[in-house]
Amino acid sequence: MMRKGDNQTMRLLENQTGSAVAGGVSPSRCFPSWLRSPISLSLYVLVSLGSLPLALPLAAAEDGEALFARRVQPLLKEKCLACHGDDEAKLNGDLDMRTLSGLLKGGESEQPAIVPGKPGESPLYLSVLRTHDEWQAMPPKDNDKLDAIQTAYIKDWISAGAPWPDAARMAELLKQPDKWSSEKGVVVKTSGGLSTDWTERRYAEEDLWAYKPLAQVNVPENGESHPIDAFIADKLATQKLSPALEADARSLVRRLTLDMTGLPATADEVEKFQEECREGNRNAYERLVHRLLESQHYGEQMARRWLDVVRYADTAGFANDFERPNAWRYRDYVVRSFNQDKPFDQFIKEQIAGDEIIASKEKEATASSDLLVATTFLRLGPWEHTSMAVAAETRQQWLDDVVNAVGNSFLGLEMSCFRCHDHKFDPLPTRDYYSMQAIFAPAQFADLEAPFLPEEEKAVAQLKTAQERTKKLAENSSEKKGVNKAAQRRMERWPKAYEPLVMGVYDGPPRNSGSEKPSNPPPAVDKRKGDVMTVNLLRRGSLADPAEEVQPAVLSIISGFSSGTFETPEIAPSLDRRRLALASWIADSRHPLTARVIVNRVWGWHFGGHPLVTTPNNFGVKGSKPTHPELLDWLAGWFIDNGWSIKKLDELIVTSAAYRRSLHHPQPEQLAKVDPEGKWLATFPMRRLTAEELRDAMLMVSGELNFQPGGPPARQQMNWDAALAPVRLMSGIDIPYRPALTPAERNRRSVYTFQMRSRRDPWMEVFDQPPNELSCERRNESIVVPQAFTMMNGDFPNDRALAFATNLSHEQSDDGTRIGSAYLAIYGRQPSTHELERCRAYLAAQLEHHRQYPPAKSSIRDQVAAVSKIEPDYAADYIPDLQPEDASAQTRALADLCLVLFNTSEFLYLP
Amino acid sequence: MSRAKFPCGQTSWISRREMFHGLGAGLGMVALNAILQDELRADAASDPLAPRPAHLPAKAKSCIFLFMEGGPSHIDTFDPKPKLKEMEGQEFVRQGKFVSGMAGGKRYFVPSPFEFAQHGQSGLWFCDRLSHLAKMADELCIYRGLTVDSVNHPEACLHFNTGSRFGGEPAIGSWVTYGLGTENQNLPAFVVLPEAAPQGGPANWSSGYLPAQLQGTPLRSQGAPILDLEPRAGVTSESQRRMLDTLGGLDAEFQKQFDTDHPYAGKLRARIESYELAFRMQASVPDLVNLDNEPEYIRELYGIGKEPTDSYGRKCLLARKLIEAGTRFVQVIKGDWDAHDGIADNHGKALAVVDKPVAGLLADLKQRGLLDSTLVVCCGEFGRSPDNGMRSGKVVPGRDHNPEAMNVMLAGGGVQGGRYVGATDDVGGKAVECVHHLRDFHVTMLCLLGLDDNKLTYFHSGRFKQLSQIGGQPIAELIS
Repeated sequence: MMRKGDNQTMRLLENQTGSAVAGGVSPSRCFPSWLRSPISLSLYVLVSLGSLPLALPLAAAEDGEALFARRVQPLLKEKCLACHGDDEAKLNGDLDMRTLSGLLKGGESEQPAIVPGKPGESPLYLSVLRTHDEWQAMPPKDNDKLDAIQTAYIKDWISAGAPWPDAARMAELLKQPDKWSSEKGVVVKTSGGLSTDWTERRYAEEDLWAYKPLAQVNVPENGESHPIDAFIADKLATQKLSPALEADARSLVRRLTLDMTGLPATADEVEKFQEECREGNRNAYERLVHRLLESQHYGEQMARRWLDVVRYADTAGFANDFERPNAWRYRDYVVRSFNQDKPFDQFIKEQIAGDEIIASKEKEATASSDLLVATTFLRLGPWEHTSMAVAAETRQQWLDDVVNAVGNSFLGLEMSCFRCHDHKFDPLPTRDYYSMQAIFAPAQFADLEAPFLPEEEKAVAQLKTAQERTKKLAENSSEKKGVNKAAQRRMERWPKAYEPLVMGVYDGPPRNSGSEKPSNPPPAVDKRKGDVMTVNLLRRGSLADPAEEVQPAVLSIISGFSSGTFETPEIAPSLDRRRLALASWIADSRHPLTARVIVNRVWGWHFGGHPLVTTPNNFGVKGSKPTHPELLDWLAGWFIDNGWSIKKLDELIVTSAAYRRSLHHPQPEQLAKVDPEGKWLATFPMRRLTAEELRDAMLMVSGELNFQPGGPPARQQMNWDAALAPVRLMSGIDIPYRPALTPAERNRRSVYTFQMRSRRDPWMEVFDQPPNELSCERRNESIVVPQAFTMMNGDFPNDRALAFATNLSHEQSDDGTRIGSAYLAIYGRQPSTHELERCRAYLAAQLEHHRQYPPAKSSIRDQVAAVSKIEPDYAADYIPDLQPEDASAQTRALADLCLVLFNTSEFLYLP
Repeated sequence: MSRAKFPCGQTSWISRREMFHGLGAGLGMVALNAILQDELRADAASDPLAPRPAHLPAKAKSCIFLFMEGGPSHIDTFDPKPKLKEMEGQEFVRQGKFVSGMAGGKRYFVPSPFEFAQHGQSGLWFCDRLSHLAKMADELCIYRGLTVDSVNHPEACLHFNTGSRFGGEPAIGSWVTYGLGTENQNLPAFVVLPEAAPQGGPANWSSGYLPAQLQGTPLRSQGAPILDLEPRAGVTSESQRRMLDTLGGLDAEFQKQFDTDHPYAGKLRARIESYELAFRMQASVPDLVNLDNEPEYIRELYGIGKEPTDSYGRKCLLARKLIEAGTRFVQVIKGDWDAHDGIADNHGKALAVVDKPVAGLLADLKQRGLLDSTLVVCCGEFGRSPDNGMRSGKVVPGRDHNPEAMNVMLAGGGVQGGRYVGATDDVGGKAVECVHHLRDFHVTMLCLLGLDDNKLTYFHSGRFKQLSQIGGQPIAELIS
């Protein structure tokens, strides 16, 4: 045992501040350790509330031996021996905990670690309590600490005289029933962990809710006509909360339009809907829902949400951040899939195994491009292999990435949690992790040919000028012309965006594919035969430490928990169709996770980013429990029964009264007290527009949004300093980003803009667009000062405000009408008298200001000149947005007002 | 123990505290907090940027991390290997199961082109290109036992800066700020002073899954120090004031619809207040980063106004000003250390850039009494090899990447100077004494700043995450 103050290091490690590290530091919720026993699960809550003394019912003395065999020794093994026994040569603190004699001898403190019969005098017990003044808390990691039940085991065992039976007696004891686990907890069947302890450990059944088959749930009968509302009303009643009233017509049409399409409703749309409601047209709302579901923009909005989950980007990340010129086809495939209301089970299969579906001839050849494009999903993560990297390692990185991506996206499981060891909380053995990897072992990277679909053809044709320009640039870039290797490598990839290629995979024997070459054609079909790469279980996730070989298989817990209704599929060890087997298993209606996970996401997308399970990528033991478990299961079942149709699910959700509620509540005090987080949905949850919605909304209001769908990504306008900052690459300094040449190209919808991993648009970043290295399950909604900087001073909102003001000036004659038009376009309403007065006063003052101060000359030409060094003619061909010097003082004053309106909360939040 | 309510819980609805996390800005938290007090009665302690007591007693309160991207050679700076002179040109066989394409082929030993001498009372060795830093010998602790995992720049950079080779996790500066908060609420808590974006990009200073305001804020050396900090050309202070008043008026009108007790009201109030803070910071930040008002002898100390030290000297001086003003963590990034093609030329140039500014920074911190409370760490993402392969078919006196040996320079922050900890072998190929993995070094850095890696955790995607990823041991010899 380590006495506190034994040496300097440990002194430093002491928590001198006690537990008062509130607010930021400690994992202050003391989760029961992963080794917790089933008894502890039932008692834990009570214990942590302090209502139970730590001393639990004493085990009778005769139980001491059994307690040691069943509980104490496994505990010592798991918690202590890594430092105090496993490595004889390196016993921390010179304490050997492998034997009773070692414990009785003690360590550097020269005191026995245990005093049989006297836990209160035993340093071992005092250390695991972590509260003793003299003895250092053990194990040192807070995360590993023993829970109250476990410390009680130690205490009881010492009280019983610290018996330490010999091996023969131990074996005998272990054959007897485990009396400490008879009451609670279940053992589950998996393929087995690295230790028997793990394989046989027990789980609190309620923690494994997501692994269980969907429950058959009946809609509560409480007078609510909409099934969703019936579930919600039950919970509200329990909380003694009354629901808010329905939102007014203007709020509803604006809310629904933004939610379903990511674009604001126009003044006309608002007016039309209000009128229909005034006329008492009962189906007005339903008709609005249908119209929006049929809009091209519906798919764009849903795609943007899905792309968060799959961490879509147009570049490869890491050092060179090479462009992935054909990634856009996957993005468009997602838009198309949502617009076509592709059944979600099919959507899953295509992304995981589109190529194998083609090979198995399940689909007609005409659809094959789409099926190939879908598999780009498998390669969306950051990945690079250069001459500086080790091929086996970069291959392993991809295998790890793809397994985690599939787990995150479709199963709501964080797979990396059982990469290095059996899962600490969930019934997921590390063997299953590598078995899943074996499914992907035959997949090899290639740029596959897949003819453009008609809509792709059209999108590419619309970008003909850009296409020709990139071709010319690629041909002309050479070091002789002062273009360094880094820039050449970038430019040589550009023309490929217009070629009918897919960043995909084929099944075959191992093949090196580095990322430095611009293209990677697949070998001929007859050259794709051979031995498939074998996959081994890797100890501690390390390639250098392989254990036994594993065969392709899916997660064993699922069938183990299905009571025989959903068997694990056999996956042939041959090269092909491993992924199809996996995809079919995931997309099976009996799979307990798949439907729950997607239904939960869709719910969260509509309800202001508040899913029923607040950890959409983690449905495991440590994920959050659903707020409305019955509703979740009912929805999942309904979804499957309705052909996995996302559109039907959307319709079901947004037609509920819960969705239509006002943000306001009749009893705000009561609401603040009972449900400050809004999880019982007494009101519609308030949310800010996402970065993309905000950008698109400003462009739409200003009349500049280019609605052109699909095709290679658009280089949007970005803060100039950020856009043109040079970057250091292996092959020199480069300016990797430059905005497109014309306003129309720059002003396309955000979903179509260029997503560069190493150069994120600061505008997007500051409004919480997530980094795209990892899957994003839910967006943050921060309020940070840089948002104010960028909204007041940034080029983007200022340019939009000027364009908006210019349009208003063209059409209208006097200030009052102009202000009214601005209000209609932005909020779908007329200003109040107060507002009108304020705006008039501001306009007048700004007009005075602008008459006094002529506009400063824009510096855009100077800024773009830098690019011409590596891209000739860039500066000459660049067409800037309208600049202040091109506008009258009156328009500039009006632009100032428009900017103010863009900054208001009423514009920034979903009504 | 008072079990605080902090976001390690697995069941977070969008909670008050989460909403709160969204609020700070990394800048200007105090006022926002005041606004939110009503909402936060229950959670008063959970402001991620409020200054907080350390876990452990420690001298260092803040940190300047001088990151040398590209992998400086220990053999040609702090760790002389005279034996390499004898072995010059001899063939060297690299062992190891996983080698990159770069490390294959015929290899040979390369001696250092620089001369070495001992300096200070402690007699630490310095190459002749470190004449200024040599004067600070007795302040420096050179750690020679560190090993890392990756030989590839971007992964190794991300590993050093975030604890993960693949990015997406919080940077050290974010973790430290998460642990200690910051002293000046009107400045970013974690500042990055980059040259060009390093390999691996901004992921090197990302806050990962920690609250957004803990992200590193890159301060630019030219133009506005923070993007869009400055009003556009032609916008006067009066005009901007008018804008804010109008905005405030309109927003207040909108907010009236929400009863003050309404859970959403605080959000709206905080947003209004963030504009006022922005307005104030437009004045205070440029003032801070303006180095023109520094006296000439200070500018001289850092080599400002002379080449090749001007640019790096400015960053070092700014780092000192920020630390003095209460910023918690400043990372200065300097590239151009990837000396495959010639140590003499490459390191000769790079050392000329950093020698005087780094020495100046240490001297300046010391004379202001800040050195004790400021931990200064200087190193690259890995060390370099004693040998080189052929480059473009030629034999050139350069060096490859080496994850198995490197030197780290530490100063201040309670680290005892004038000594070595650990050692590399006689050619500088491998660390052989006091050998520790990078995760232990991360734990040590935190420890020197009074933070316990095992307590500095955040619950994310199924487990408590920490800088060292899986826990580590502090390097006792460095903590004195």
